Amino acid sequence: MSSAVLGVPSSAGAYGIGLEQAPEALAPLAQFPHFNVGLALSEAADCLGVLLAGCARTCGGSGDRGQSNQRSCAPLRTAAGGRDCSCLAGVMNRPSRSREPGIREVLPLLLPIVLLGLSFAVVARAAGWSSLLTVTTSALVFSASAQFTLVSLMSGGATMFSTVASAGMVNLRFLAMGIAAAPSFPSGLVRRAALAQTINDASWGLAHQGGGRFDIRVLVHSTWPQYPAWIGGTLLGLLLPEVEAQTLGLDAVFPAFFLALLVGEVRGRRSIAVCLTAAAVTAITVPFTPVGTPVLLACVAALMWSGGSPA
Amino acid sequence: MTRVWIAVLVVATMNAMIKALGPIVLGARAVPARVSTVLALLPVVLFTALVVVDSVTEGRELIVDARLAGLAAAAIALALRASTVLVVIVAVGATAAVRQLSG
Repeated sequence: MSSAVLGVPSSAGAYGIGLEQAPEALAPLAQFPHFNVGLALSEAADCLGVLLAGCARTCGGSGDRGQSNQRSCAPLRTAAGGRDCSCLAGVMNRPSRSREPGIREVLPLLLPIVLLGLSFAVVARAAGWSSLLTVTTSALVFSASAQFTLVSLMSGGATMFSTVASAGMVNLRFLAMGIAAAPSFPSGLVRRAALAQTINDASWGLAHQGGGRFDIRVLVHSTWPQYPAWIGGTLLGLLLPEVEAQTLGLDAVFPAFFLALLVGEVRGRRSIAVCLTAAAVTAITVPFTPVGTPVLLACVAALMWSGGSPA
Repeated sequence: MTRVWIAVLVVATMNAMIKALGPIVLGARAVPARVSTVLALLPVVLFTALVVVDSVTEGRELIVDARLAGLAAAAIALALRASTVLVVIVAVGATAAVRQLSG
């Protein structure tokens, strides 16, 4: 999609949110695998809000934006039989009550983020991390992929260098995202640096307006709600009783999670080739190198297949 | 544990720098196509390597155990378009089940 045009990857599949048949405006979210749930939740929230407000206006047709003065409490039904609350929501959305752009869009992602934070806390604790360390990690790193990489490699006995390098490289996509969004940033080094901290998969995807333009307000307002969700999820995970990791199969969290992220990234034959090469390099070098090094060596696969025109 | 704290702090700092590098240094300058392609492929490489390491290795040995069942279950769940959280739950369940069954 648009991110592919800009040559920027996005492993936002981690949030389990994706897009199948969605309005053009939401097209950048195509790299999220299962947005239908999010969309449905968001629409349901809208309809509920309208109904709770006491009344709903019916609109003359799908193009009518509430010019009729009829009042009725029935949600509008589209010709296709589905619910269309957008007209109602638009009518009820007076300026003083309208939410900041970005918050509404990120709302459906918050529950998966909480659950993901919870699972991070569970595996961190199982790896022997203290509660303080776990929460601090979530607060400072604020990246599911980097954090899971950290726990996985550290507890597997990898060297500091391999762990830090891998966790860093997992997030190199933020560099590309920053480069892509930079033209839309206001001037001022400090401001640009601070704004850049709001970049993550979800906010970047949501802020993309097409044609390389980014809505900074969306970038900011779709990021900050993720923070309490992420920390909250982590804290919730810490509240759960300590568990025996092996018997409960908790060590399967890592391959499953990374596989989910991987699936969100693989697009086209080149990435499949890279994936297979990386798997082979990793498996072959494991018995011969210090723990963690195979992950770094596998990067040669990216160099091998990067020649020629972009996929 | 000290080394873990250090790793966390280093990664957090790197993260912040990686995000800020684009807008601060590179601005609107175009990234060479080759660099852009490599950057785009790095997540594929890293996630693949991590999947391999976390499912069939134990330290420096290649081992096949119940985790592979979890991975297979995860793959099926993903093919069925389950959400990430569900995929993880399914994988954990499958691994636990296999471990129980094999004593």
